[in-house]
Amino acid sequence: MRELIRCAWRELGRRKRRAAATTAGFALAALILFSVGNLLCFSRQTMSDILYNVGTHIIVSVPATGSEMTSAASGPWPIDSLNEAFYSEPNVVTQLLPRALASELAGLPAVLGATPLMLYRVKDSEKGFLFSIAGFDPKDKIALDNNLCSEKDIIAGTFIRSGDRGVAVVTDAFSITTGITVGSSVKISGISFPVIGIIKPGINPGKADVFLCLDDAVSVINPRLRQPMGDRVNSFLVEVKHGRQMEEAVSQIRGRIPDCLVNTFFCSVSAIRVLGMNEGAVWILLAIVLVGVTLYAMSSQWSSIVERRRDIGILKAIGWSDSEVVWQLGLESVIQSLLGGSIGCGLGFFFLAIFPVPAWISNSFSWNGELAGIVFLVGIVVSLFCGVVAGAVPAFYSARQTPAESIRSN
Amino acid sequence: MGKNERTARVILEARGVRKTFPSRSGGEIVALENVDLSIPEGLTTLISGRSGAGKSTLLAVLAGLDHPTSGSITFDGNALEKLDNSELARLRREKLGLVFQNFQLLPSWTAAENVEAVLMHSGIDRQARMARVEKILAELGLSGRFDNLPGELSVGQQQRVALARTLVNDPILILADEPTGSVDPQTAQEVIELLMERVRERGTTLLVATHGTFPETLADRQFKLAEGKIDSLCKES
Repeated sequence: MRELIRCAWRELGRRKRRAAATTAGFALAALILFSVGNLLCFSRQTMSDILYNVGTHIIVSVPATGSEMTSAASGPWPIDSLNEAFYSEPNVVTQLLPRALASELAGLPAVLGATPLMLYRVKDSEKGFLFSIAGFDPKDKIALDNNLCSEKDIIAGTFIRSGDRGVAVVTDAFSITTGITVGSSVKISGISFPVIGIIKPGINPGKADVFLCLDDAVSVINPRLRQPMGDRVNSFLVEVKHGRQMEEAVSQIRGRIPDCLVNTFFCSVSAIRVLGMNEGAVWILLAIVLVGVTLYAMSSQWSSIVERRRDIGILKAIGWSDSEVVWQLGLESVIQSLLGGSIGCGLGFFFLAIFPVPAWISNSFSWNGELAGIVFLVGIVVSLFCGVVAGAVPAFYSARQTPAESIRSN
Repeated sequence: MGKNERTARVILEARGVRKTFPSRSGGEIVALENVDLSIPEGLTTLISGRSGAGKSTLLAVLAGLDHPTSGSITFDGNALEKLDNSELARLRREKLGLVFQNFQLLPSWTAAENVEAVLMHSGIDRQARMARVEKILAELGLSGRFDNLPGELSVGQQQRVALARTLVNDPILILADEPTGSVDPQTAQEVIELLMERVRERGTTLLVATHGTFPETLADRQFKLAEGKIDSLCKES
């Protein structure tokens, strides 16, 4: 093999112009591949950011029918059913569901995490205004973040941590309208909860004014019901594995809870499709470039072989086997593709370091050396693959001819 | 060893060899027709004939460079039609020396590389290989020309490089196609002497195709080829 590599290298050295042109072709392809590859990674990173913010969060509940609410006089329904209710959307009254469903939802293939959530609309007993409370389990961060509220939403004070009891967090809007601030208390069902933080939750599927630990919420809601709710909640927060799996996740959730109401930001679906189309266009462009370069390299290698047809015939006449000829010619192509691939990817690195275009376009872009390294390697491997294909076809054709045919051809 | 003893074994034999090429009109051109030939070991055999008689085609077929349309060829006990391409290549590399009409040197390879090419896949390490290459080139008076490309050598030197390539693997049979056809008389004489020296010293079998430039007096046997057929056995010692 070493002899063949030496021989191939020597041959390339003696056909400098052709070798340089072919290598430049591979380098250009690798440069394009590297650039497009990084663009794709950038696009994916941006897409993930978008999808993370809009496309993976769900709140699940089952709406209650009017007959259920009126006929269930002794059920776990609000005593003041005109003002108070379990809700998911402001005007959607919901049924209660077993808490254990959370772990079943979390086990669905397209679901990353799920947590029980209690949403209840309360009438203030002293001033008579309505407000909503949310009871949640602070330890289920995956399903809470961007779905209801999290530590990053805090604008004053601190957030409720796992294990905290008897404390509350309120929204900035509730704080303004009621005058309740960090250090004061919010009173529900006769129990005072010191407010430890104020949040600005933004647009999330789960909405409330006051946030409590789930068990605290249950303890303040139960006295307001005709019967205690038991080990039940009225909704679940679900985090989907990826924005692309949103529809799949919704389908799986509906398979488990047939009458459920699934609320999410479905604008993400069209966003995903548009981003997917852009990515598809980039892949097609990439495929065209690679096919073009392979054909160019093949044509160059072909010309080289046609020029050297007599030489190949002589080598076979003096005892080179077909496979040795194929290896020799193939190695020439491989060397050119490896060299071109390395140069192209190296140039890509260089240009990206000097002109970090993605960083200029988006503030969210962060240089990922490992990713760029992978793109670099992929660029070289793809270039090598094209080189093997470009070299193999003419080499096998050449090997098929008898030495006499090859020598006669000159 | 006497000549008669050496002639006991037939090293190369052709039986009913026919070779045709397709013509542009869709028919076929018959290059060789029913050729029967036996080449005894250690002798010099001459195949003479006019240009276009089929000499080069016959040598190509005998060397396994081309496949006969029909018939069989046996070289050193191996039926060529039963060998695959890699076995044929090995046979040529190890046992056969070819002298081509126009030297057929690789133009982008140096003199030493042209000769080394024969040994490159023979399993000999590079140092030993180069030692052999340099020795044979030196024997042929090309000591200072190892790194010259063929284009930088005179016609006579090119022919000597081609001969070095033929002899470097110490073949048991040399097939020479017009070895003196493209060189001046002085070079032709040198080439003949070199070939005959190898025959004398090592008992190498020599088969020469010529249209008259190779001295008939040096041959032990001589066949005449006309229109692709062995016309007659002109001489047998």
